[in-house]
Amino acid sequence: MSALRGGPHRLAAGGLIERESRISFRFDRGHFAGHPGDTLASALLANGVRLVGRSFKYHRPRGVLSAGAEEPNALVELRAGDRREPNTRATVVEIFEGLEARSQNRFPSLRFDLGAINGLLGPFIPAGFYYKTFMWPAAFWERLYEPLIRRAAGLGRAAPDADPDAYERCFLFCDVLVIGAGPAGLMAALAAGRAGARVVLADEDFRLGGRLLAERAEIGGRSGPAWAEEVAGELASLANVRLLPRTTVFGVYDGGTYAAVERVADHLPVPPPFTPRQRLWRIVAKRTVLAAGAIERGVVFPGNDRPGVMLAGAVRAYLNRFAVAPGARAVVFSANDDAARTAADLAACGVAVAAVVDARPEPPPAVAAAAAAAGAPLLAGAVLTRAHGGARLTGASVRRADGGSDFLGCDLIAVSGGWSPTIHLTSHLGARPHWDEARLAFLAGEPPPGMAVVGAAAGRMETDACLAQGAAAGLAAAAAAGFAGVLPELPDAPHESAGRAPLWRVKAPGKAFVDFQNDVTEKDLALANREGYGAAEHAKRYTTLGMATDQGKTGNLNGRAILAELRGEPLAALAPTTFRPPYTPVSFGALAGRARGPAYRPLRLTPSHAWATEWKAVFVESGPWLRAAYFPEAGEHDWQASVTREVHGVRRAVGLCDVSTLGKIDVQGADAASFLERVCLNRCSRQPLGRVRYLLMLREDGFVLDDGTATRLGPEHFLLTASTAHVAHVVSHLEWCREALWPELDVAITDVTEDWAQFAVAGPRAREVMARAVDPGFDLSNDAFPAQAAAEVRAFGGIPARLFRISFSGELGYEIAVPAGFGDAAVRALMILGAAQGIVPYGLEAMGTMRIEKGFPAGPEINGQTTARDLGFAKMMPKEGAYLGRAMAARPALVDPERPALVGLRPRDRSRRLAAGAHFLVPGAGASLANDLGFVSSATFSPTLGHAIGLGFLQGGLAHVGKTMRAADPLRGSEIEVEICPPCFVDPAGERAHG
Amino acid sequence: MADPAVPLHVPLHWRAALGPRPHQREGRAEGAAGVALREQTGFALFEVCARPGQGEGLAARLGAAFGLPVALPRTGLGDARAALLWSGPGRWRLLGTPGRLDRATLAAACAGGGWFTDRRGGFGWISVSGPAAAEALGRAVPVDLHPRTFGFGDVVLTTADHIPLQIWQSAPAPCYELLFPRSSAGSFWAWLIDQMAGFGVAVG
Repeated sequence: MSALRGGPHRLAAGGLIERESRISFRFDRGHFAGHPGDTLASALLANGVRLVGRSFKYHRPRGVLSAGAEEPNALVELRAGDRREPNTRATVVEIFEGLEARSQNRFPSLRFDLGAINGLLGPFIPAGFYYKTFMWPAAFWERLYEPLIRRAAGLGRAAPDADPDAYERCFLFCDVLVIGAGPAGLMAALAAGRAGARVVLADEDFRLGGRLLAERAEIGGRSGPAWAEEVAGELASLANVRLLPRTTVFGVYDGGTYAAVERVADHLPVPPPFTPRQRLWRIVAKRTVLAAGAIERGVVFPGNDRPGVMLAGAVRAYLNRFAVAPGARAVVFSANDDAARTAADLAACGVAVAAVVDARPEPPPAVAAAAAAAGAPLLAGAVLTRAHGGARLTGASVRRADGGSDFLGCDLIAVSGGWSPTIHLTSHLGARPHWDEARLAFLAGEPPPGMAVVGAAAGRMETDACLAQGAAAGLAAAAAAGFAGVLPELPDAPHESAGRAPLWRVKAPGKAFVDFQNDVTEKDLALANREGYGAAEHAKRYTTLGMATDQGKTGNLNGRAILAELRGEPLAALAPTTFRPPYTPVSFGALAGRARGPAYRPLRLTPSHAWATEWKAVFVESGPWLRAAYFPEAGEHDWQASVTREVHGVRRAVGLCDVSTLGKIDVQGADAASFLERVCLNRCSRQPLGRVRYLLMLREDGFVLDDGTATRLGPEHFLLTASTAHVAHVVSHLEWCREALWPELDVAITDVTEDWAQFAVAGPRAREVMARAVDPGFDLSNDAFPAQAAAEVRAFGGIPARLFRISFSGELGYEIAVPAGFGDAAVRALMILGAAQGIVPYGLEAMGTMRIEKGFPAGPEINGQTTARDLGFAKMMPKEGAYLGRAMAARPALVDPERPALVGLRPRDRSRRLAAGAHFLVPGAGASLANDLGFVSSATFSPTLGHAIGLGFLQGGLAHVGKTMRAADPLRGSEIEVEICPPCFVDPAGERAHG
Repeated sequence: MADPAVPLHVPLHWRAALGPRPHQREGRAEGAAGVALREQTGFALFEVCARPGQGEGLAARLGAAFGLPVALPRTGLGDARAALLWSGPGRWRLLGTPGRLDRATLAAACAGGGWFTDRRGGFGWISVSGPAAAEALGRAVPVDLHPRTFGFGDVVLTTADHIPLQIWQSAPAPCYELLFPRSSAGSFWAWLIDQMAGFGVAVG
């Protein structure tokens, strides 16, 4: 019950928590309470919960190590059901009413975990175990090894179903982006903000202040948090400053672009209506001030992963910010002057200090004084050789300077191996950090353009220096963006002593961890080095050092120092590793934003979409378009039945199809004909006005780019069509030709695909329908408007329209185009006008079927690998004149008579179906690549002929007409005999289309 | 059913890019709407392309012909009834009420200087206004809409959710006009509402 009253380890006073409010939450089976201002970690510690997780490999008991985003141990599953989120760091999770968290990687319970047996098996599963063990026999891999490894892999469980929350992606532009709202960042934002620059200040914490929130230092005569609050208040009052708390800037990209994730509603049980759970910001900044602070390192010594071993800075954060005593009796272990602060803060909060263990032979007087004030012995030149205990720390062994050993009873070890500047973002564009021996840290190399690095991120650990550097950098950034200002007055602030000595590891028997999350020990590194993987990048991959979700923020440098020592090299000589985005894990939800489900990508709808929906069309995605595939009628349960009916409808009476998705490209200019003659095979200058011609366009390499039609609307005006899937490519190709190859030509190219609704009306009775659609006075007779004629007309009672006598079905066919806004009305009108003729709407499937019946090549044939000759259009290639692709199309391999060319095919046994993708073989030849003669590109059931037909590319092409081949489809296990025939199956003379 | 022997003389109705859409609130329902969206319909639109080297002269002639300010690069100026929008090097979109933009005047202005095509069917047009218009639209598009960089008369070509988009500011108080391909209107609208829902959207 005491837990429900607020936590037995909560200090009586202090902290940045709202004591008067209580928040109840659950961790595993326990019910606890905390306060607003708590993180899950601080609330658990306040309630005496020290064991929060199990490690990945050995299932070792783990507690809270840090108080920030660097946490490797305290990873929990947060929330329940579809909002369940694995691997959330308890140290950054704000508690909310009803929060549910679960420990991970344990069975059956956190305290009693069967997987802990791995700890005993440790000697048998060293680094590289998987690489060495699961090598052979090869047959075991798929059925045994891979399932085993997959079962063991991963930490935490993903949510069972789709995330119910919304995510948002937004853009933000600013003059100065300040990353980090500690003392340096706040001053930078203040200087730039007062100068009038547009400032964005982003901090991953929910409260601005950075380290000031965790320390007792006074700034300008006020407490650090009070000063930070005051500055944040002024910044919030400036219209040109945007504060983004709970926002992690996680990546740097070209052109001053930064990616940041704002946890908008992660601190709430459920996001409020119309509020995203998280928001991904793409921030474009003219200048950036990186004030991301520093991350404390641990020390590698046996048992250093026991719950109760905590970074000293985190200990101070829990004491000062959260008013939590993380232990009752502490040992301070470090080799830097922070030890004095740690000991003093512990003592001030009533935590007994068992000893201050300083590895330096002669710590400065301040450390001795702090130890004395805390009533603790200072053990100079001493190191901890072991942390004792299991799920709870019981004490530590210390090796004194004189070589003797002691046992210190304690339940908390505040350890500090020094601070590593948070320079991750500085190397996202490739710059390598450099080693600074004086600061015992890697500092930023050449930062990204426009970025200044200040404060602890630049290795300055003194508060006054951070304030000064931040102010100067903020002012300079604003000035560079065009805003002059004055340097803000710097408040009084401490100049902490920052003396330090290297302390990477303690050599002593026992398991000493370098990477807590991936369970990489000092011994693993030694093994990697012995086996030839001692270079930093090799060791990383061999041992998985730094490859966990925390990316080794607290242990990588120790690991590299150990490697350097093993290799007998100075740390500076070890090639520095770089960092890649993201700085901390980012949810897929945030990266995807709203682009999932139906919003995954935008859809293009045809002008007749609403009408087709009313007609119960079945739609199919065709590139970005949603097109009607077929229009089932009552009683048709099979798509083939609908398609067969639609094809018969067209071939016997008249059909209607929306063909608006075909590309329409307006080409105008005095040089339009000349331009087109250079980019396609047509002799456009000779093309009569009001006539349509089949058009073929080559790429520069001689292969076909696309086919379509060219209509001459005027002496200097052409309209091209292009395949639905190729429009964008064709337009950009034409634009490129105009701008790059022949800028002197007077030609204007406009993609007008969107502008026109176009409908094919085809079938023996099409003329009767069109006669009613086109306004009186226009002669539709075959003499006046023959096949391949085109005209600008008025239709449907005065609507300007374009009429084409073209046919993709092989029937008497027209296409009528009206401005797209009239498309919906036009299709409805055509259905009414054609009712007496029995007009049927037909979709993409019937259209595809009829074009195969006619042997017209389409996407499967114009696939980027075929030439005009392959497609049977050799005669279209002009003998004279220069056009794109001409030279390359003449390459020997492209004119080889044995090159596969377009043929038609039908099964010998007419009852059998054909499969596109099958390969041609001569009867008796084995199904091998050497015997491969080509392939079936398109296949369908022909309602007109009553059997399957297909198109394909066969070596020797039409020379094989009448012969029998095998079409083998080993992928789907079918093989049938086919008869090779010309590609056109229906009305080869073309009488219907011309009638 | 109409008598099939009689030519159709029922006027065909123009369908707006977004189709029929009632006046309503979208997104946050409490308080005043931060954003107002209104679809503009029934407008005329021509795309004009200059002949090589004729760009500036053509722009001046178009402006003079229709009584519009000359559209310099990246500007789109006009009044409530017509606007001339820079739409790329040597390219403009002329749009407005059909009565204001007659084809003969345009043909005369273009003669010898450029080419035009009637594109009235190709676009949807949505006006964005309201107290949160700048903030809401600014977050949604990869364009800096801050008054220091984008103001009355400015025009930009960009994309939104992979959909081509032309934006211009049509009044000194932030009021933005969005021109997008007709076929993508449904997806564009869904995206726009999603992006602005938190501000409260008045439609109509």
